[in-house]
Amino acid sequence: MSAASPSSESPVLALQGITKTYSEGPSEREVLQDLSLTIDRGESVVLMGRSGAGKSTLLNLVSGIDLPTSGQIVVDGTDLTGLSETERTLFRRTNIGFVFQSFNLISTLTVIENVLLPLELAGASLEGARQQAQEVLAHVGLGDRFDSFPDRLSGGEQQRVAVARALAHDPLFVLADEPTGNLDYETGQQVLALLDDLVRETGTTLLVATHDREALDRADRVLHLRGGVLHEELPNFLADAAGPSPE
Amino acid sequence: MSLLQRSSLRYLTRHPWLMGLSVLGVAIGVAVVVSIDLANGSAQRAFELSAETVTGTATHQVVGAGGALDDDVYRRLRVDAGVRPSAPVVEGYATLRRGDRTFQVIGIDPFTDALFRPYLGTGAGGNLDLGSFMTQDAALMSAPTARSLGLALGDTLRVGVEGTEHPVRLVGRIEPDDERTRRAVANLLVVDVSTAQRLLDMSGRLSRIDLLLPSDNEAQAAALSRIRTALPDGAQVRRSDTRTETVEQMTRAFELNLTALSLLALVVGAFLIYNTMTFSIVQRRGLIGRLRALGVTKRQVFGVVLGEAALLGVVGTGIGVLLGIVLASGLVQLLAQTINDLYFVVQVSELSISPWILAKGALLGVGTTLVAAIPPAREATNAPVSTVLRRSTQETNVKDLAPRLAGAGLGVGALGVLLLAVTEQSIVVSYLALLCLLGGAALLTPLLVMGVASAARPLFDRLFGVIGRMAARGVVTSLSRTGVAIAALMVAVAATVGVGLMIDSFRGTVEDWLTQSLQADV
Ligand SMILES: Nc1ncnc2c1ncn2[C@@H]1O[C@H](COP(=O)(O)OP(=O)(O)OP(=O)(O)O)[C@@H](O)[C@H]1O
Ligand SMILES: [Mg+2]
Repeated sequence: MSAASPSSESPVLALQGITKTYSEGPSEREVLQDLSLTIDRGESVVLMGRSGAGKSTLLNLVSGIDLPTSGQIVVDGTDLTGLSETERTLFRRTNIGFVFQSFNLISTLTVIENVLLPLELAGASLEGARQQAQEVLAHVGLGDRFDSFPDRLSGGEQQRVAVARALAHDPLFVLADEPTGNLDYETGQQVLALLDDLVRETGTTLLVATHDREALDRADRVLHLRGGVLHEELPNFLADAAGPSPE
Repeated sequence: MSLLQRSSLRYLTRHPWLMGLSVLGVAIGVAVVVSIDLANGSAQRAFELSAETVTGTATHQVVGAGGALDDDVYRRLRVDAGVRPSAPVVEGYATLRRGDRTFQVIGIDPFTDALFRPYLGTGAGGNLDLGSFMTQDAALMSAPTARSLGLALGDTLRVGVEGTEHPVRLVGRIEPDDERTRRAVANLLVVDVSTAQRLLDMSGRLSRIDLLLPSDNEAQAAALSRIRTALPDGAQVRRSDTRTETVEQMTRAFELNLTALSLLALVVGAFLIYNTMTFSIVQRRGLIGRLRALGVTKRQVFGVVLGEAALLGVVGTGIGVLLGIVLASGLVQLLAQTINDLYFVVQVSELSISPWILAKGALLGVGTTLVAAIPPAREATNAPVSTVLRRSTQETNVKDLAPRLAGAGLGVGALGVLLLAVTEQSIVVSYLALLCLLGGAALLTPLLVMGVASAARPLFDRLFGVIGRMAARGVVTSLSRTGVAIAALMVAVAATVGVGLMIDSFRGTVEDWLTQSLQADV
């Protein structure tokens, strides 16, 4: 019952038989159990699940920060589990944009420098990069705060900078881990809307972990992580059409 | 400048105290190394100069059994054996009441001496009044020294030897031709042989006889055998450079002592750098984790941390070198004074600043800083790549480790005490012991902090309630930060006290050492 994919190419992300166990002293805890998932290019996917379900764990695997205990993670044709730590870091540098829950920004860099950082790491030319960073910052409504340091910004402004930074270097996909967790409702909605607009404009794939049910309104697909496996749910726009959801 | 570098530079400028501490650590270490090195170098040169001056151009010397020769030996050598370029010397030390200075008294025969020590101006063509020089208690002194003491020709000097004062008239001044001679003769009091014998209570005896033997091997061997037959029992002829060798041996041992001292200072500096860098890394674990998430590689993180250390090292070294030069001019006085009191008469008032020594100090400073920064830099690369702040894992590590660290600290400290107790001989071992004590103290710190914090908890509880208890517990939970900070502070204090003690005990050490080695000589 997967939603219609916007593109029929090979999937941008394919997880196969992913298991992740953490050992805590003598005992082992299996957070993800033989989990499989494919995401197509340009899809906007929401990952739900209660605290401790393993959402962050899953995002860390997709970004190559962590390795699964077993299984394959194929991103755009490359199996991350076969790469070295450095290779995965370089992969992340070009292919992933991050929005975290909090402490998103580098406190010793100004707003524009934070946005420039992924561009510089990706090896963009300085002039072009600056231009690009200014544009994307203007787009998130921070055209007048280029030279402020992050601690001078409100929580919502910081998250908007984070959104700009996540998209500045035109990554393959954006991973967001509870991007609205530290914001009030109103501000959270603005940030979500901004993120959604930007990924759709640029055709970037989005995987967002959240408790926020409002996020479902914008999603192409909704995944629920429960007991270490994923359950696909109808996204709101289809569920609305089909009548009230049974849940 | 890349954004990473800019970010790290901003971190440094936002933590001026932390960075000041590191810079200070390096600066003190380098300053001590450079100053001791410079003082060593200057003293060494002065030793050499002084040894050369009194030896003059002599190739060989005749010395007696107990450090003195009978007058008669000279006559026998010169008249009976016909050993012609030869000159008697009576040597000793005296203090001059004016200026409270120690001088080397050298008694010579003005008729034969010019060949050996031409710069004294006793030869033909000099304007020395030989009559009064040889018949009265008369002396020559370097012109610049006389000037600085406010002495004119004809003035009477009060020359003290072992408590007795003798009036001696200043009848001539030595005008040094060059800088080297000027320094060499600055502390000389030149008198006639008979005057020296009277002053130094050596009547009928000589300190040695200087010889100028042919350089040709065969002729020299022939001359030597002729001399040997003329010598009484106990007297011997030796090459004059053996004397310089003794001086060299002495200065070498002396240098070792000082160098060990200076390296200790450098180790303290390195420890300070290690501590502050570690502290800054622990503080930035979250930041580094976020950078790593954005695609900054371990190698880049390592490079940035080493870059920071290099910057601190360069700044600290620069300050240290300047400070070292200042310190050295004080040190060199202290050194010369001590040595003068006991053995040599040298003037080391001038500091010779060798660029080689400065370069060596600079290299050592920056190099040590970089080496000390390697462990924290590695620690930085191991910061967990984080999308959220998670410090608690690190904290518990240190907490679990604390007893083991303390155990190691006790062991190392005990080793230090043992070494100190066992050794009174070896300088190297003593310094090793000191190092052990320092390291042991640092390793004990985390457990001590935890102990103090948990002891303070009930007290805080009663005084301030829940907030007080939280404050005390906060110290423990953020141990990886406080522990390092407290260790750094302790080491800073230890370093300051250490350097103070070092300078204070400097004289004592040198004196002890000199008496010991003098006893060994005799
Ligand atoms: N490094 C680790 N070592 C041991 N256990 C871990 C580690 N990281 C995560 N876990 C455990 O794995 C489980 C899933 O954690 P995860 O952070 O993925 O949950 P989450 O769904 O993101 O929760 P939340 O909504 O609270 O962020 C938790 O029980 C957590 O305790
Ligand atoms: Mg999470």
